[in-house]
Amino acid sequence: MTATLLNVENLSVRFPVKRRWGQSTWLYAVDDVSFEVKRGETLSIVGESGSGKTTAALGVARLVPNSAGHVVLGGEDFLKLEGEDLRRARAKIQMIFQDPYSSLNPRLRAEAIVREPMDSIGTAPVEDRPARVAELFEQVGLRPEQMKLFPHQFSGGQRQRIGIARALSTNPELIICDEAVSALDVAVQAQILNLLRRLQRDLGLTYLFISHDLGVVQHMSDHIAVMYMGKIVEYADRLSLFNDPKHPYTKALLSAVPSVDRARKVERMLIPGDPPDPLNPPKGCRFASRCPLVEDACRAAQPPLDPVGNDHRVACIKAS
Amino acid sequence: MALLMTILQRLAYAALLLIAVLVLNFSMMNLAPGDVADTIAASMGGADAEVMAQIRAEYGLDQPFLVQLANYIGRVLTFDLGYSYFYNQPVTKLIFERLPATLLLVITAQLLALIVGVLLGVFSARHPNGIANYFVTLLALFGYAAPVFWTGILLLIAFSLKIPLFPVGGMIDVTVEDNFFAKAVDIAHHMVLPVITLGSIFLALYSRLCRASMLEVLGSDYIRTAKAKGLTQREITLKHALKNALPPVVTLAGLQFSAVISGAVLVETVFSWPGLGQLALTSILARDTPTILGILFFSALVVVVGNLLTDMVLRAIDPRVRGRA
Repeated sequence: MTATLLNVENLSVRFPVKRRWGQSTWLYAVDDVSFEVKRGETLSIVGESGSGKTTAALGVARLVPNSAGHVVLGGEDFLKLEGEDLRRARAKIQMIFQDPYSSLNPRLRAEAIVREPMDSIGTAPVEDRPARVAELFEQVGLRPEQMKLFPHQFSGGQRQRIGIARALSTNPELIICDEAVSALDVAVQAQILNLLRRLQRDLGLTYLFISHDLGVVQHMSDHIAVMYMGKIVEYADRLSLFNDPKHPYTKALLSAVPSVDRARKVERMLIPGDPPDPLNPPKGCRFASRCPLVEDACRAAQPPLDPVGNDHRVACIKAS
Repeated sequence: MALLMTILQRLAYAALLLIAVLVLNFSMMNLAPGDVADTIAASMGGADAEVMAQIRAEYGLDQPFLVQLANYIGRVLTFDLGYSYFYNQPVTKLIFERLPATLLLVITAQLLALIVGVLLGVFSARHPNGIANYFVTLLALFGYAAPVFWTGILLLIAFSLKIPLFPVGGMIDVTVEDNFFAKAVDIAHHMVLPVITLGSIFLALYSRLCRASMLEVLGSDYIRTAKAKGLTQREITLKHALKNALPPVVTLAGLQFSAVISGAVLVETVFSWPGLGQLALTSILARDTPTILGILFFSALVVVVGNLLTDMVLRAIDPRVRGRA
């Protein structure tokens, strides 16, 4: 059993929403979510658009305001840090962002983008920094002569490599990949995913991997959390989740993955309708309005995330 | 090398543009009613047609239009802007006497407006909902809406008349002792009000544009990246945001250079600043065509040079512009 690196407890992220007559309410994009990530492993969070998976990642990285709960990394609660302490602690949690085109400052050379965190937080001695930048470039598969170029002179995949080198520059303990490959075309996706896996193996990195692509998730993860409307509905290790999904939403998601294997063709499980209004979430299970197995008890109270097996938790009263 | 080619290319365009300006100015002057003969006749207390014709012949005004135009352009190409009828001095000499005063005023006002405008813009973009932001907005609206001469007169009444902090007009006090430092201080003292007056409009413009541009940049993904990297707020604002927000402001400042010069005409009149603007006004009233044409030509020259400099500055702050023509 490996040690837990990141422990997220009761994380909520809410946004103020203005209504008429100056009233405002809160939209809970992430609602009371708990999970842990073990050192050297990859936890993926999957879910449809608007399920709160990216917001959860941004909440962990302290990049959105109005977060509540605990994000404990190495005995320190990341959500309690402020100001200079928070800034220095950011070295431990780094992000790789979705869009490699807009997330790099167009006016900085690749070298400066990678080097800047070291200069700002001081994670390496001054005299070692040029060598460290060169080493990072090599680790992510970029050529040393590309260090002097500007972001627009790179392709999408190369830009994402710069983003990865930048994330590595502070020697982080946790790297959050927020849809890190979804802006890239499939061939490049595979290269970047393999690079991420190689880096994990070589450097012992821990990933929190946010994706909507189940194929990518299956390739990358040790554990998977499925989110729906700001809640985790199922958490399991990879094999259990893909072979024995318990929650009807997870089943529906998995059945939606297209397969090239004609023999393995499964019956598509369709879920009708749209998710309910997030400003006014249902009292009971949030999936109740679209669930094929729904019964009255589902609408009465929110099902807790209960264990159904070894390392497998489901928030559904019909699952156990 | 590419840079040199670009500069040469720009200079060639600039030369063509200046010749076009010359032709246009000269034609317009000829279309306008009245000439120097009228003024001279008026100052003599009236003259008959024969004397008028004699005066016109003396100044070459009886020649056909195209001949006059060709003569004029020919002379300008040899850096001879003609002879002022009114001041009885070469126009070039007149202009070079006045040019430093105007440039001093215009460049100081422009720099002040840029620096303070950008600072205010950055400040209000960083606190978009604060009270100070509304104050900056109000100041900008006032600066932009108020006519220059009105602001000038108001400042004169307030800070020269009621509270006599600054001189009423002029550029230098004749009683000041003749050493460089004392003179510089005296000129700076005279400059305060005119510079504030001229700078106020442009300050308003730059602060608004800088605020809008900063707000846009601050919302972009790479600012979030910078924050996630763990940079300080200062590094994020100055290095990542401002550097990306500045080009529109610099471009506008370059384009506004001509407006600053025309604004200077009004400000110089209000504050009796001995610059080109004042010279322009008196020579227009005197129908002193060569002087007016000379001033217009010089203003065009200053604007063209200003735009050229803007391009160079943009290259310096935006690496992406480099390498493109």
